[in-house]
Amino acid sequence: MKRDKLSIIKSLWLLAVIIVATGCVEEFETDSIKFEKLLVVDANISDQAKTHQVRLFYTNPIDQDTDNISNALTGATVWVEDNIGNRTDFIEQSPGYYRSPESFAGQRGNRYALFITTAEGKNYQSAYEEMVQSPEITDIYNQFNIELGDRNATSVPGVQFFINVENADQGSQFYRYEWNDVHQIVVPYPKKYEAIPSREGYDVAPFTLDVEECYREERFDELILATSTNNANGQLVEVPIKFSQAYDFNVTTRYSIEITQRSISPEAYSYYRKIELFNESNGSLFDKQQGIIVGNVISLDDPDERVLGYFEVSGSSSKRIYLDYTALDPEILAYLDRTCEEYGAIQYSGSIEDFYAANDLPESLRGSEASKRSLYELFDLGLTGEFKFAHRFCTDCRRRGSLGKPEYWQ
Amino acid sequence: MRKFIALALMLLTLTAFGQQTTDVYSGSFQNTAIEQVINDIEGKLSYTFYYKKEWIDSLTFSGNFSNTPISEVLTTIFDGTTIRFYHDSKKVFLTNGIAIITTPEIVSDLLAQHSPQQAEQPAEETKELLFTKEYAGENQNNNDLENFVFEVGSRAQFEGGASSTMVGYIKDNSTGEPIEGALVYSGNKAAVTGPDGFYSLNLTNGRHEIQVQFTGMKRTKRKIILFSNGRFDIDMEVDVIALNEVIVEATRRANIEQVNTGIERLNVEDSKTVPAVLGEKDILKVATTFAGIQTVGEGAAGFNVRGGKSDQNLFLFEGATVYNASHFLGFFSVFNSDALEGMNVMKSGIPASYGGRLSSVFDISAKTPNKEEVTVEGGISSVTSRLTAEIPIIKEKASLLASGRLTYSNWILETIDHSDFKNNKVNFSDFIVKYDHQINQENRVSLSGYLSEDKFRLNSDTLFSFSDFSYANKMATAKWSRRFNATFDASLSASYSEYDYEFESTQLEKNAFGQDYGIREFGAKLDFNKDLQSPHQLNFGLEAKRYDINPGTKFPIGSESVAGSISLSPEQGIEGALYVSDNHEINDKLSLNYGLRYSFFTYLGPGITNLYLDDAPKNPDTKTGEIIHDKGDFIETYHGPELRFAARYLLDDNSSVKLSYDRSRQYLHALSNSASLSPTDLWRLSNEYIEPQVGDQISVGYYRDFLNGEYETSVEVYGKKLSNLVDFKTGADFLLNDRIETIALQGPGKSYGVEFSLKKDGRLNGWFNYSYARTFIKLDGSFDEETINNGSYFPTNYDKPHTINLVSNYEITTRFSVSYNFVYNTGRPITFPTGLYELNGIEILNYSDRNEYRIPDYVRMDIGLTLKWGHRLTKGSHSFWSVSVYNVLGRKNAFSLYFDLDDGEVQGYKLSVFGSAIPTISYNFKF
Repeated sequence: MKRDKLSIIKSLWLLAVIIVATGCVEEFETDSIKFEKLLVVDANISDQAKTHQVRLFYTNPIDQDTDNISNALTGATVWVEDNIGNRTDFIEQSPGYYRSPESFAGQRGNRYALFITTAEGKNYQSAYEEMVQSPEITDIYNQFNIELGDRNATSVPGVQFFINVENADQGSQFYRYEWNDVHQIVVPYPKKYEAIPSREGYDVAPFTLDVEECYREERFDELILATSTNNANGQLVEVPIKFSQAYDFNVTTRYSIEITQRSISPEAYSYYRKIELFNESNGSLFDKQQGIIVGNVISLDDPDERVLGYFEVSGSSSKRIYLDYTALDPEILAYLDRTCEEYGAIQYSGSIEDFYAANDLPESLRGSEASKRSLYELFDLGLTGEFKFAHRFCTDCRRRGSLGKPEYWQ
Repeated sequence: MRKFIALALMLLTLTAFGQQTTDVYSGSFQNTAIEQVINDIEGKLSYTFYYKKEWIDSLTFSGNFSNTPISEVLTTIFDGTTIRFYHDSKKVFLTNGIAIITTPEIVSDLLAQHSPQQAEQPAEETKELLFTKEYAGENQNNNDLENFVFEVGSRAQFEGGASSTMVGYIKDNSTGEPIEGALVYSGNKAAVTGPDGFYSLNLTNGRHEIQVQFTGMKRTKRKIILFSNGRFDIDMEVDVIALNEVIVEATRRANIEQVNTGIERLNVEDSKTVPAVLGEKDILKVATTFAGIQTVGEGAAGFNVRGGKSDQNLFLFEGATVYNASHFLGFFSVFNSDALEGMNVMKSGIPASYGGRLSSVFDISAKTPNKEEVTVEGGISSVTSRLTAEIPIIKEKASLLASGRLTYSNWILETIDHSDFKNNKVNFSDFIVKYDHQINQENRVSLSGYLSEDKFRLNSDTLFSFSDFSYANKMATAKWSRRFNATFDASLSASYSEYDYEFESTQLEKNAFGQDYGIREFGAKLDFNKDLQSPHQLNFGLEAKRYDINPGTKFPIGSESVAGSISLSPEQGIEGALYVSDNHEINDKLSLNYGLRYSFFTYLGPGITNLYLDDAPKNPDTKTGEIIHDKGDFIETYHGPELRFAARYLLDDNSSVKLSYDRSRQYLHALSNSASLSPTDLWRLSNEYIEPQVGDQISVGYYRDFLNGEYETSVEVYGKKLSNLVDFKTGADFLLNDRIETIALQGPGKSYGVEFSLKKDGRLNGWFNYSYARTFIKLDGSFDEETINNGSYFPTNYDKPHTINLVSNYEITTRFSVSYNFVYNTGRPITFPTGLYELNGIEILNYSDRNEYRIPDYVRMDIGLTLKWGHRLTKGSHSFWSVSVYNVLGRKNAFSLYFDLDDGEVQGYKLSVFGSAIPTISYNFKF
């Protein structure tokens, strides 16, 4: 799906470079590049009733952050119109962010366009895009896989999440995916005491915050596209959505992923596809010819002005699954370093200083057991006041997540 | 009565050489070494024989003589051998394989026309005069062919002050093979031998010194007296030193005398001392050190000749089109240089007999196998090993060449400490066979075949299985050459070429699929050469080709796969051309070569023409309908004349100016939206929407030789106008695309430049050139999506304004030589990101105008040493070691620059192919 011949050729070419040469990649100074400031329309509406958002920003120089408020287009009038004349206004909530009413949902079968009038009176409009329903995602499953490293060339074991969509031909046949996942982390040795370094050594103090249960949420950061147009029976099978490294699961107790499927227009698909191809570029000769990619928004006043971004209109459907880490593809289990099981807890009757002391010695003298001690921290006191240590990942869930259960967590 | 004398004299010259004597000889021999027979004759008749011992070492004689006239004795002894003799009173001169002076049948008809008149003239008197005054004595006490004075033609027909035509064959004395491209000259008159070694030279009657030159052969000369039209064959010896010399001698004088501009001949020997990556001597790589021939970068397939696109070069191997001339994506050429004779590179002034590509012709020929003895040649380097054998089948008549090359690079992969590449496999191989049969002096047949294959298995993606990728070239040619008479010859050839690729992606079992592409070309060509005697030489003929293309099919692999099948409808086309050209020598100084080629192309049914809205860009949305064409329908036909013109004016003995203009039309286009040629490029035909590319080039040059040709210099200026160059909409995907017109753009291009070139011969030899070259394209469609860079001219991907090449070789001794290369060029243009933005939570780069920036300049130095063992003449094995260091400075030349987004930060990277010095050692042998 995402794979195509071009990237085979690219890999092959890089392989050739490595075989016959001592090819190498070095960093390159980007100072000489001049910057071009263009309006970017980052907008999408769906058939789900919720607050929809239109982001209006200008492009940033490549060495700056994208969330720079000084780049926001503020004070514009922004609305969406459908083909039967219904208008929904988007109100600016914060610089550059324009939001619809909470109840707004697109109607399947209607066509929508985005209109923008800036404070200076410049007018922009998108093409009309039809809202097409998105079929249900049939199932989400995972398989063990080893991902090849990018430039640094280390292979990474992990699990690849896939989806199947049985009735993919009932939507627009062109899909964009988004995911967000969450790791629940319940630590076995939650901190009750902590050792605070002081001038004399360590002060032991009670620790009152409940750091037993945390959640770590992540979301997609790249384009995930698929189309069923080329498939024999209109199904989408084994669409790769997300790869998770085995390391991500080292203290996870339960995991959940939600995948959203957006049924987009062929034009939107081809627009995203170009972006995807450019982002895959790695400098080989088989990279696509790069260039500016304009979407479906044009300036009504100046036909030469190039507007970036896309007004996406999509039917969307989501599916969430929950699983315990033991329910991952069994093959991954061999690669999982379950930190807490491996390290366990240590009861130590010497001083804290002694516990850590050996760390200053060279490894040949202190031995491997002592070197591991730097990873431990105090979490509790024994009945007779001896110190209990455990791996720091296993005493404070905040090291691998954040406190506070997401609303949707079941 | 005079008539009778003339006839008798003529017969005399035909049957024997020199004066007849009345000496008689008796003797009886049984398998006796000829040398012994000669000693016997010398003893009995006090004769002296002059010869080289090695000529007759292996010869024996059986037979009896009893008071036999000596002339008959000699004829009998040497019957069936290559030895010819010249008998003059008590001296007998032997030559090996040289028909010293004879009047060939092929010119006898000419003689027949002239003889009645000539017989009227007092030829004897003049003849005596010549003989006694000018060369009496010179032909005595000498067994050296170079000082011996040969008579050509019939004395009886001598006409002082008139001109005669001398014809003959130039051959390699060790193999008996004709030498193509040898330069035969005397004073200002020069001729170059054709494929069968035949030359024809028009000289004033009288005494001349004929010089013969050819790369890799000892330069030789012959003293002749030209009496009338006649034949004179010359054998050349292999130059023992030449095996490793960088020699450009074949083009000596040719530099200033050749009529066309921009033509270079590269012999395989030229490539031997040029330091090469991984020790692979590669004639095509050497070509890139010539002015005006560039590649996009190291390891890039495809050449850019004088600002042309990489699909605008016609690669011919034995006359068959080569669609992909690269192994391993461009690191090696598909030809094993051991099996090649040489290559003609034409970058302007392309003769009318070639057509179909705009920028250049690379005409590569395989070796004509040795007809005398078996020779084997091979070499071993760190990546490949190769072996070439030449086997005589019928001595002096038929022989076979078989050559193969294999890579064993898999072990390198295993040694790479890089997990990504551990389980990959890379294989490539190529094979050449050629059968050559010289049926008689008039007819020759050659058959050749070629096969190359590249196979890769890649551990290429996040999903843990393999992708297989392979591509193959297959070619076959049959050629029959016939010489009707001294002034008229013809050749008929048929060729077949095929290029296919296939890849399989099976890492996701349920989406496993394969995809393939293929092009087949059937060609036939009939070519005639007619020498109307000075000053006109005509070349004319016709050519026809048929193309069958499978533009792409996709198919599921395995029963689990749900991947759909896609099969694009095949494309067919026919291309034809008629051509005629005339080499017109107006006078000693001015020579013209003008010609016309008329080509036509038809895109044939079955097929579908998609119709689009008139006033909208062509894309799937604007399609309004389609027309279905039946098999054999002429869907679209294009045709047009291609004018070719070249002129040379000799300013003096050492300098000339030349001018050429040529137009070419190209009906076949490689669809590629990457910067260089890639094995997955799709060759597609012109159709109702994709128009043929047309190119015009004007080239002017000044040429000058110094120190008797030791230094050759030239300055050439060219300008090119191209139309309908094929490019693509930004980000277009043309794989499995049935509607190329929806993504293709066509626009005009222009290129211009100046090339300075210096070549030097001698112990320190090599070449140096500097080129200033620019090339631009304009894509200005009627709609936004069809317009790039606001519709103005912008530099192409391969626009490299400044290029310097130095290739040098110094022979310290005959066994030991050192070489040094230097290359500099301006970095190629590239498109840079100029901005960053966020869309749907994803960070995206915005790019500059196309090719607005450039990668850093390229600088490289290489050094090499060559050490040889054994000389060819010792008949033992000959071998040489070569050691080279490529990129000796270890400079990390940028191949490209690219940009990655790492956590919202744009990071620029420079990719270098050769990041350090690459030492190589290779061993080559020949026996």
